[in-house]
Amino acid sequence: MTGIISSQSLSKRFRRTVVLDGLDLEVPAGSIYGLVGPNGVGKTTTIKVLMNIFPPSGGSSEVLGTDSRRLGPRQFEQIGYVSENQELPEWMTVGYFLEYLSTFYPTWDRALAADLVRQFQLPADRKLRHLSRGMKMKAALASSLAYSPKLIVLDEPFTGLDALVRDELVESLLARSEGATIFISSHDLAEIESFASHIGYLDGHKLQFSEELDALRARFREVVLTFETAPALPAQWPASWLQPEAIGPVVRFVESRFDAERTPAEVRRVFPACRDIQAEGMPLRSIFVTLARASRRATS
Amino acid sequence: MKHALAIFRKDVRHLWPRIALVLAVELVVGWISFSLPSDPSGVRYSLGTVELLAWWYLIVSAIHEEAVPGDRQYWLTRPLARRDLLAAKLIFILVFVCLPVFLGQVTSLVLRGISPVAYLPDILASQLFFLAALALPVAALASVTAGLVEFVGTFLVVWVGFALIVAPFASRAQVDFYWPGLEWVRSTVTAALTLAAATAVLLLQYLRRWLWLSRGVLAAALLTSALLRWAPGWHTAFALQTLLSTQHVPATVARIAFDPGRDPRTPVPFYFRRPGQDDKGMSLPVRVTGIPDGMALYSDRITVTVQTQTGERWSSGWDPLDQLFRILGTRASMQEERVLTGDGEYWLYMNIDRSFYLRTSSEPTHLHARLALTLFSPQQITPLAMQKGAQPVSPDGFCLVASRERVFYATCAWPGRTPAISRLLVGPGRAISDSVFSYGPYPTSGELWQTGDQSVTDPPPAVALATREAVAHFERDLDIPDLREWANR
Repeated sequence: MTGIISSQSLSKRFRRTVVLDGLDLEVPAGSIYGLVGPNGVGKTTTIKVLMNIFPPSGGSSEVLGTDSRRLGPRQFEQIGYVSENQELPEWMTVGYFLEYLSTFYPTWDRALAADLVRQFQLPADRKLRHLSRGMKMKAALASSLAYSPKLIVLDEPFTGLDALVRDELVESLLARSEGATIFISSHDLAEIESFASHIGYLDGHKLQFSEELDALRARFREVVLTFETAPALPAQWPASWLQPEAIGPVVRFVESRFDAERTPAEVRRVFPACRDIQAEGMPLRSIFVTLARASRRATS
Repeated sequence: MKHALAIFRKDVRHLWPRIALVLAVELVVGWISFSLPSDPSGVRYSLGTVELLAWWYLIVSAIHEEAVPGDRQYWLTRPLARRDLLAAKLIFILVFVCLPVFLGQVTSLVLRGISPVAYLPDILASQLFFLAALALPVAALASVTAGLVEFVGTFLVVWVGFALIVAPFASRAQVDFYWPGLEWVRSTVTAALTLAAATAVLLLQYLRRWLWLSRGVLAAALLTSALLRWAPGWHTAFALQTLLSTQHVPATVARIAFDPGRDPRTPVPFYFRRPGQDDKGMSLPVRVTGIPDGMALYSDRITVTVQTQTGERWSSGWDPLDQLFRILGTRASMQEERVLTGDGEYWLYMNIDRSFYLRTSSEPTHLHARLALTLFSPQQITPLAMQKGAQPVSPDGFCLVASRERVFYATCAWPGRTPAISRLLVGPGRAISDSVFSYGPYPTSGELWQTGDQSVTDPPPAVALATREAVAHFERDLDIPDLREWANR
């Protein structure tokens, strides 16, 4: 295996319920990898297996070159983990929380920690239980950045936060994590789209695809074909054409393997009478809605 | 170790109000226990329960600072080594539970004018038993639960389960499964088991987080320790006790012979029958000789085998109700009647299976009895005065005697271990047998001071404490090859 995080045929069951089924994942070093997918498909479970919180039911995974089942203090010194549902020691003040944790990290940078506290406007003498949700996430993030980890793992970190706090967190995260690999899970595509370099799409307890975001954007196009009259529709659509629909003389579909030369040629082959072809780029959200629908259709 | 101490300091910082509360409870309980002249209403017992609950609360709180079960705890993805976490919790228990108990024990000795150094082995033994029986099992149970509510629920389930296992045997336990004198052996085995199980659970939980295996180990250990109450092996324990005896007993000491010339129908002053079991109680006249001057002989258990000429055979096994005894009168206690204080005529009491007896009563039989015996030192008598506060009794113990209205109370306590037998003499020919009765070389209750409380109506004119030490344990045989008149006995 190579990469900061990698897994082969990773699976996880809770009794008879399959949550992950044969996950093959590769997170390149230095990337910002977004693991996306609908709620309940196993994003959090994936992260918890990778972080050695849950043992896998099958397959294997490595994090920072170590079998995830053997992740220990030495590896966690280089990992920053923030999760939306993490239980923090709420009785601690922000200042004591950071001071206490500093004992365990050889690379803890007090100046950086102080800087993060200032930047996030965290009240050092206030107990964590008295902080708002956004402030708690900031405290958790500050405590996970102060030792300049090689890997930052964020599990739905922005859930429930307002846009301002979210942008602030993203901005700080990117500014303070130079050279680090960021692995972030989210069901909110818009927040990922703005900064992820790689994307993995988890659905049906499997990783449907995993690639660079730019490549993903490049291969998805919403194609609109215009005809003189309503065309005869093919019995079998090309496999890469998703969600085809025809309304009178207009046919629409999503091309999932767009190529500037190959796609028009394929259109001409299927629809020789096509008068006009327009192919438009798609926002990430539309790409995933298309994929989710296609997946559900295939399942049903 | 640096990280373990950091976790420990963090726990102290968070739990200091609870630590202060528990230490205050311990101080108050210690002071009341020390100054209470006697405990007629069980105040000391109630306070002891409060103190135990306070310790448990503190232990559970410390463990739950970093609850092991669960998947949301922040520390799971921090570089906290599990062994450091476990070490921090053990340090916490040692510092805030064991150390105060230790200091309390040392202080109680000093205040009684006793050198703590002389009792250091007893203090350490009581600490070990305290850890094994009361502290670490609670820590282990806390480590498989995620919070106080879950802990209390699990504890109650375990408690009820334990009671359900114990209940069916409770009536029999009084006679067959109580090991007077040798209870310390079973306590040691139980403590070793709970210590091993608690250690295993803590290691499994902290180093591996194998929750269900840990729960299984804990359940199995609890079940086993409950069943240990009914475990066989009394004779093995007695053999161990015999090995530990330093004094050699020559064959001339405590010879037991059948005494057929005496009236075989002498009435038996008591008859101890097992509940729900149809036995025939029978006494044989015997003569015991060779009891050294001033010393006393006690039959711990006896096994009787009867064989008829037709080959039918019955054996009692080591029966706690079979005994050598003397007839003292109606006011004597059973224990007192079993303590033989010189050569003379005694009785060998035994319970025979009634159906075997009815089948074979007309036949001459061969009876063989093997007796497990203990030889006690000469009696040491210390006169006690009423309402005089703590009065010293040997060795290093004290007694408090008082009367209120028409009830007389006496409390005696010894550091480390009690005399093997202690009796309160409350008038001419009248004694109250103390419940304290052990051959144990160290305390197994988890406490340093071993106490016994007695009460009796009508304040006696004079009180004295009579004690004896066990000096040797051995076995003797009694063989009656041709026991006739079997049916008349």
